[in-house]
Amino acid sequence: MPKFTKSPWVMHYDGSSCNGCDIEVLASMTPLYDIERLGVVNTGDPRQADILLITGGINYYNESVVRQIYSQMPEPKVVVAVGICACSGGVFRDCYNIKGGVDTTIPVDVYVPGCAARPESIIDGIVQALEVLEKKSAASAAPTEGESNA
Amino acid sequence: MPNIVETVSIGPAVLKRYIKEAAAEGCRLVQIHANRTRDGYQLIYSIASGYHLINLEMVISEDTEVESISGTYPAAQLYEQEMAELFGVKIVGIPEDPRVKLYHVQGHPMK
Amino acid sequence: MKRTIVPFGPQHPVLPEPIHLDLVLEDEKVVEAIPSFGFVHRGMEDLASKRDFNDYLYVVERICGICSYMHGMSYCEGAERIFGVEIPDRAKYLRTIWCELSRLHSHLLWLGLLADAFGFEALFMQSWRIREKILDMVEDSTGGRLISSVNLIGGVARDMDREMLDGFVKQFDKMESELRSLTKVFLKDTTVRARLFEVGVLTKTDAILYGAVGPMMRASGIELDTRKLGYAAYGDIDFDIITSNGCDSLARCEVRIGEIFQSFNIIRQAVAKIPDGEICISVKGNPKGEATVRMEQPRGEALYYMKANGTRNLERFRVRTPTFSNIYSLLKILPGAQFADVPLLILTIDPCISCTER
Repeated sequence: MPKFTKSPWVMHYDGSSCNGCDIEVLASMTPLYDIERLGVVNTGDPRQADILLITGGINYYNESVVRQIYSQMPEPKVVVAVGICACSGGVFRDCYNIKGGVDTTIPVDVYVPGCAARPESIIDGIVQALEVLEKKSAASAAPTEGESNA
Repeated sequence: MPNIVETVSIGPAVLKRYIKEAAAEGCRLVQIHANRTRDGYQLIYSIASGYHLINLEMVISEDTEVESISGTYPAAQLYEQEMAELFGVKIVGIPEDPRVKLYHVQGHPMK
Repeated sequence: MKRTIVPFGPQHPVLPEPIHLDLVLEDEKVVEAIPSFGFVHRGMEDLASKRDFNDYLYVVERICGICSYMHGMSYCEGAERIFGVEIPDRAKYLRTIWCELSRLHSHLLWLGLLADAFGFEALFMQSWRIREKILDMVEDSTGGRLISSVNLIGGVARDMDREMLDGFVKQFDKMESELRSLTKVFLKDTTVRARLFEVGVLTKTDAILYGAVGPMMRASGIELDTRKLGYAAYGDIDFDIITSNGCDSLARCEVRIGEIFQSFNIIRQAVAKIPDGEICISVKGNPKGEATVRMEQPRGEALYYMKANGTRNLERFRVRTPTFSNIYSLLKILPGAQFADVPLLILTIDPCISCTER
């Protein structure tokens, strides 16, 4: 796990999930799993967030919401797709209103498997996201210009 | 408490009167849903008095216009909108508010 | 007075789920709330015609991750009614125990979220700490924390031995005493009372007209609990319906807290009465016919309608979830409320948007 000088803040958005993963994301912030011990703070504001946790697939209506939230986050930013629905659409893949996983709409850096994803794997996903975040901030600190908004 | 489900077949003309009588007796509206049949729809209005459930069943053709019962039960509006959006059932008399939309889907996916 | 429209959601710090409301405000007072849905709509009812009816059980369990067990159980119950089979008694009792465990974890989750909505973080953490113990029990007995997949058409897939059942009951005593001191804060603390008392009043007449169900309805003084229909083993279990005449947010909190302690008692009774024997019977063939099942979920009465035509796929599967029915009550209690109370009022109906939109 990389060393950080600042606390990375995470934000959670529920795509078209069944609630299972959302509740597990919340559960990983509560006393038993307590992700705050890694310095991670949960925020509700995309403008303050470094890591975006998305649960559930993308449907044709929330697509624009997800895009908007992603564009509101400051660089560098990392997206974690939590749960199998966020990775590929999962059991709802064949539903008429489901577009697919999160990567059909915004770039995803870390995929967390599971249905519902267990808090342990969510924490593991966030730790992996921290590594990606460190690489991205090192790249953007370098003189060459980083990637602009997707 | 026995689980009684009673089914009563009615026509679209008497629906509103039937529902009004039920409301006057203090029945709850449990749900409304539509089933697709070959050339139309089967609408089921479930009302309950205590634990006793009555399914009002109504078979209609695709073009039949059904009157909204949201004047009696305001909560019926959501169910009626659901039927209209997903199945394309023609409901007349839903209080018009263009901003309230339920699922924002294209067309009628379950038609 | 000049009116302001404040958009609320779909992404909001208090709500874990996406719902959008356009709140029309006069100063700080809400005068109208216009909802907008569709952020979670997937089209699961349509999927019934594409999946084998045995496989569709796993889709039904994912209507909602919180009451997943009950959704699966209701589906099996409906299919069993269509097949006309009676499941073994032991399976009925096991279903009852799991049902109540999921009610416990759902109500504890709600208590935590409510505390979070009025900004009492410590209370949120404590509620969820106790909830984890319930989830451990669910995991021990089913293998899954939230989505258990333990139901089958014709019974259940896993058994619990005596040691495990007695172990659960033994843990309840300690949990109950912890919960007593925790729930005292919800019901007696001055600051909590100030946020809940006489906030969001829904009268008895309105509760019927606007289609309130579950704790929302029982907090308005209506005595109705579909567990009394006697599905699973509820017919053999002695319990009272918990109601309150307060009609406000505090009453809803009271009813749910009452149901938490009641669930412990129901599980105790079920553990004492559970008979030995088979847990599953085999059901063969394709279903033909229709069934309507009503079931009391943590959020209220859910209704399932299943129609089968003798093929591998169901012709129609319809579920009316409790939150769908409670949405109108929410729209009824929002006008007149303070803007700061809006997240709290949304939480008092215990919303489950993924149930609502399916």
